[in-house]
Amino acid sequence: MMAIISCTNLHKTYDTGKVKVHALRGLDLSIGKGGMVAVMGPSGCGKTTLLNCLSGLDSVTEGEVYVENMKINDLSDNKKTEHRAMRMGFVFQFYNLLPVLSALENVELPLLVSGVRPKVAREKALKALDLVGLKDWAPHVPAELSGGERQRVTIARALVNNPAIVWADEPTGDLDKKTSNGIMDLMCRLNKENKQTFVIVTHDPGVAARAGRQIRMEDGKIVKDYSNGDDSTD
Amino acid sequence: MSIIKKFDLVTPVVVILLLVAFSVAMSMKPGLLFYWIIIFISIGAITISVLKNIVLFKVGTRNISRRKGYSVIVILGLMIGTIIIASSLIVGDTMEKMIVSLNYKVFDEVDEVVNGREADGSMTYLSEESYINLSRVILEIPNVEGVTGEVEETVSIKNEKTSQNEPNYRLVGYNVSSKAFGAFYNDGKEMPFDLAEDEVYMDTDSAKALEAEAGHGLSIITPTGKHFLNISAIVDTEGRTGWAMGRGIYMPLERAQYYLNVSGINIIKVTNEGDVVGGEEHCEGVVKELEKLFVEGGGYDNLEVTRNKAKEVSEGREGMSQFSDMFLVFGSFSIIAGVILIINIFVMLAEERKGEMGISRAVGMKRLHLGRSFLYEGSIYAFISAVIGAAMGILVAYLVILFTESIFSSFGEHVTFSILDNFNFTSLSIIQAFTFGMLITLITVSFASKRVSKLNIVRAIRNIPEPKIPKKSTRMLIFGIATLVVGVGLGVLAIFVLNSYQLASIYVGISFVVLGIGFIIRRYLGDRWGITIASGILLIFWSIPGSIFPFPDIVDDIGGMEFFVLSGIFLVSSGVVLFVYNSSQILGVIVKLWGLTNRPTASLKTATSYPMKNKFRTGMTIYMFALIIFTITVMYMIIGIMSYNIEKTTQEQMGGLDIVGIANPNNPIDNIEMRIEENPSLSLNDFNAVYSITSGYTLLNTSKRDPGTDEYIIVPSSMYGFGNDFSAKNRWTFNIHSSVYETEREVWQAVFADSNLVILDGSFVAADEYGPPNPATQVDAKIGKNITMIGTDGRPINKTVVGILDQFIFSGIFMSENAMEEEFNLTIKGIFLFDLVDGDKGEELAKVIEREFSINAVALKTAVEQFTNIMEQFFNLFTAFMSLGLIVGIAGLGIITLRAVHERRQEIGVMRSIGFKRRHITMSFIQESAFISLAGIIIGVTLGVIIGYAIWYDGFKVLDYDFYIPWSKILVVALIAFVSTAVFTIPPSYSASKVEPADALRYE
Repeated sequence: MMAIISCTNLHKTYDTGKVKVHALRGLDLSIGKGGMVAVMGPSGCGKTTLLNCLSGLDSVTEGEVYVENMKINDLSDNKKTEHRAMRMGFVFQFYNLLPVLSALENVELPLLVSGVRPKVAREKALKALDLVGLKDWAPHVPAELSGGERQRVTIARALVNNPAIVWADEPTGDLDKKTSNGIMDLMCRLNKENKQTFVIVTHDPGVAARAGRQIRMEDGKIVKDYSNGDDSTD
Repeated sequence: MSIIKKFDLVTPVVVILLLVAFSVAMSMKPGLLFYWIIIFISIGAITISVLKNIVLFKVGTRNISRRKGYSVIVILGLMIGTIIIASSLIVGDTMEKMIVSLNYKVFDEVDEVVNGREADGSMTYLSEESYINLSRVILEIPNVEGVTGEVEETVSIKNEKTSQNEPNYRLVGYNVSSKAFGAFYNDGKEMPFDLAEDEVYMDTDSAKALEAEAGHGLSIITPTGKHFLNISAIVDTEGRTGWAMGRGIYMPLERAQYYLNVSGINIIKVTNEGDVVGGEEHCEGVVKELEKLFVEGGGYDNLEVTRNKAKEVSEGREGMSQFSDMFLVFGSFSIIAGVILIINIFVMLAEERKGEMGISRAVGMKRLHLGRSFLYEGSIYAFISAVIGAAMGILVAYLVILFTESIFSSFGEHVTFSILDNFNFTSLSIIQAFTFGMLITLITVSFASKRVSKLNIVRAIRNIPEPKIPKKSTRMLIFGIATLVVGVGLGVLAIFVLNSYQLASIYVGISFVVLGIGFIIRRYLGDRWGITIASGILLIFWSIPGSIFPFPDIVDDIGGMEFFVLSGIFLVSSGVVLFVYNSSQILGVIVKLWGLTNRPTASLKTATSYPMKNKFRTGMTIYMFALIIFTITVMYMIIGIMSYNIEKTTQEQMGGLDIVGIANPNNPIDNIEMRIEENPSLSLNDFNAVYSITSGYTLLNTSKRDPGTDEYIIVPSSMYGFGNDFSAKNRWTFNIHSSVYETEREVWQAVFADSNLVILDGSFVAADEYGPPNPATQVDAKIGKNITMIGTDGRPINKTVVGILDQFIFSGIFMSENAMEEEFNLTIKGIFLFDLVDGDKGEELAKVIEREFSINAVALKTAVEQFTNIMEQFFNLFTAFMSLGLIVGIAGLGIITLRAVHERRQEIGVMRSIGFKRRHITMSFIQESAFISLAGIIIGVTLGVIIGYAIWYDGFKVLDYDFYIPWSKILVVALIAFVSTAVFTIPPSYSASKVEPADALRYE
């Protein structure tokens, strides 16, 4: 299977001035297109840092990162941003929706910022909300939605521009078991139907078990990599 | 006991102190001790509270050191109020010092002046014998040190060496034995009193005007003809010549009597015991005794005390304190803006610390504790900002005085005093500014702390927004009814109880009623409609010109400066609330109209959504901006309307005349046209017309009675006699004239032909409380009715009024020159009016006329322009002073943006992760602050123009002024405000874009 994401000798060091924290210590990783990969490990092992570095949200200290055959760490900030807007979607643990915008406005925002006409953006946003079962909640602001609903809005926002890769950082971390299952069902369905690549950072073994490949990290390194061969979901 | 424990004593103590300090300061002008007591009590109350809650004090103060840069900005914002108060008071101190020293300079050793006028306006002369008798009596009055009798008349003086002349300078004949009234000084050296026969002293100011030096020859024109004199020395304008600020030549009494051909004296000067300043304290007693001497039948009933040092010094002080009050009134808008900034700053601080405050509450801190912790922090800010603000106030006041000095210097050589030299600040003003600055901040902080402490623990910890107040809230209904009752109460109290029909009380009462109704409607129609209806009505109510309402007939006070402040507050508050509660709808329309597409939409969407969700903070910030822009716009409207109409008014006032010449009565010109023709420096071709006017003074009966004697008040008035050519050609227009005559020309000709008819100047119509002091204000002048003048022999002379002019520069009664001669025996033509072919030559020809004919010649256009220029500069000074508030607004928006960046770091991360480029983030913040400042600017300008219209309608329309909006000036200020805001918000906006998305997302 062709790799959509790969990195070699990836290092990330945080320099706080007084101490240096080595968050990633020379990682090599390759993720196939259309796969669903779960990254696990204890707190502070570098899971989120890995996701941030691979997605281009954070710069790397050393090493190379390729996403869709583009060396992402060589791109300018603007290029990286454009690439994120067009080809990636993000789901965060605490939803991170803009509180002042409605569900619909939150979802259409990535489209508007990448230059899609407002009318088209609105249609696509409604479709995405429909996809996650929240079309009727479109005019509501995040404060009026439950945790599960907010996370579904986040997923709709992540998928609205039909991205090649969806990055999810603890997508079920703030949800109860039942809602968490619902969210994972939705992500697995989308992964299968749309052949989009999902990289999920999680603490939950149940969530990780739904992914085709599980990577375990400790102290900034990959210590275990369980794969069923094609990285796809169960 | 438990009630006392629960009750936070600091807030009420501070509120009571401010109210006491304010009301006492307004009514009693207390001394330093009062303010020290206020400071002691307020700081004492806080200190006692701190000692009981030392942990909370630590929490509060550590928050200051937590973000030092932020604390600096907070202090900068807080000190604006103190700066304004301090600088206003210091401007007052300086003006007071200037006017007092000017008065002392004018009076010097003289404490009282006695003289009298005859019915024809000439000075009363007292024979040698009468004077000696009178002076003996005066010297017996307790505390009188000396008396001197002198002669003072105006003469035409020419420097034969430089050919400079002054047609109306003083010739002073002094008593050589009256040294108690000061000596003559030359560079500080005392000069002898005795002078040779043909020698005079001249003061430095006169020497400057005549370009004279010691040894120069002078010629003077007196009733006895032309005399040649020599300047013995130029003497300092102080001491003996200080009286009346110089302006003349000085010689022994006998010589002056000889040149003027008079006997006796015409002015008596009295000096009291004590020096220049010390003599003032005896004035009251001495004047009382003098007045007893001059009562009717006492032999000196034509004399009166015309000048009184103590009275003039005190009136000067009073006048100058009004100057200071004006600065305070104009500055009050900036102070309000500063108070709003303080509220905003503390609300933001509270929002920033919401989480930690929620946790503090969860672990056992009471609401009172949270409030106190904030109050202690605020007290430190208040104290530091008041100290720095009071010091900065000195600097700002210095700049104001510097600017004022430059305005006065445009008066030219006539200004012999310097305001800058009198720059002065008293410890009282500094302490006063400090006290008020600190108390205002403390009160605002106290109320902000109250608001802060009312948080819900769970919502604070989980950062959940506060729920809306339910529509059917009983609290709101009660509040609405209470406001309504207060409104009605205010009106009733003002009209029926205090029996004071003040427009301000009535307007505020009605406004409270409207607000109360709004709160009640809100219960049934919801937030938006309740508030929209109430603020909409208030907006219309305060915008409508006051004279349209039926109040004025019953209202005593139709509104002064305090009414302007009130209208500003109500109008801008209503405008801002109306905008904020309808902003979504307004924005929707704008976006649709604009047809916004593609890229800008995303950042614009966030830029407008954030402020609209945080209505309180946004509203307060817009309010700050709108209030200041409003006041500046109103200022510009007033200046604009006046400047725009000045040409028209000038034309109307001048009636086509370009130069006015006033001759010394000793130097009359019989046939000026012939003199022009004969003069090689002038040509008759330059003149359309030249009119010679007879002038004089008369006494006029008024329709008002003296409350003391119940007799009709008699006032002096000027009168003018014109000839046939003036009645045939002059271009003055009438405000109103008798319907007997079809044209204005017919009126002039009728008055020329009939000695029983007169025309009055425009002040007889426009006389109201805004007008200058004028006899017309007391005369009941109506077309077709008689006015009664008093002839030189005391008999009443009745004349019928057939017209009232538009012009009021020449104030008085106009009649034919024949009538002047017949009734008043006046034939000398002392006033010359020149109508030029080329009006632009006015200044040039006035100089030639003055030089050639030794008359005072004034180019009217230049005089008007100079006056307008000075007036405009004063307005500019006030505008600059008010712009301090603009700094508050701009700095405030900078602080808010800084805070917003900080508050939204995680959201910036999300935006960056979903595709917002750096520039989108920067743009989003810039657009957000631009949106707020633009809203404030538009509201401020719109309301300013509306009030400008109301001011025009109420005040200028009656003068036949055209309405005018000085768009260019207003737009320049708006642009400066807008660009400055952008400049202040770019750095924090740019720093927002620099945040790495991953860092931002990690941020909590």
